[in-house]
Amino acid sequence: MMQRIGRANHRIDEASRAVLVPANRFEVLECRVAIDAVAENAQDTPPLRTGALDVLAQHVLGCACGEPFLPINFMRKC
Amino acid sequence: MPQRDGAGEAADIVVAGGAAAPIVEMLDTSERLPWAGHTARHALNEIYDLIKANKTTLVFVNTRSQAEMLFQDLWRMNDDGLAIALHHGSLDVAQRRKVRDAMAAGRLRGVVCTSSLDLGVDWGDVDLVINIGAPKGASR
Repeated sequence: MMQRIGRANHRIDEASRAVLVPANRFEVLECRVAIDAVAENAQDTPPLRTGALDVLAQHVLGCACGEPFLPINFMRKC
Repeated sequence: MPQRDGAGEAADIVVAGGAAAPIVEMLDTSERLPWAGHTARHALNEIYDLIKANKTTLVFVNTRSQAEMLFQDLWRMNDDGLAIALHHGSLDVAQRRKVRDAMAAGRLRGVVCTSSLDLGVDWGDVDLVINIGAPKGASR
């Protein structure tokens, strides 16, 4: 959405103006969230970080699909 | 890339700042807001009034067919003869170029478009962007 609204007053020192038109009542919620995201300058891509647990879970599951293992051996490998 | 603790920084992250904060509002319609559907037909009059109140307005929709329909609706109610155009990826290149040139020359009051016009549009004096439907992401 930032990409789109940036088309209005396409100069760095002038505020872009945009109006979101929700087409149904549920989109009101989505529009509200989008406006909040703009206010805090949030982007869709979350920042990358080390030690993410979802990556570990994915890895454990992936290994288990390959072959059975004992937790203790698995821990040693990690 | 995530940086390992203690390791030398592999790259600098530069965050741009200092730009004017955008003004984003939600249309507070005086019509009855439907429970379902994606056409936003209920807001036609209000969309038209916004186009009328501004110099050049880009009206973004999510699909080409929706662009066609909205354009037709606006055209039908255009009693003031506002110069409103249509731009999407299924239109002939010559037609698209015509719209783009007219917009750059400031001859258009409104352009109904898909994301065909969301990248690299730094020409034309667009003073308002209307987005029909909920934005599907904060960045794009």
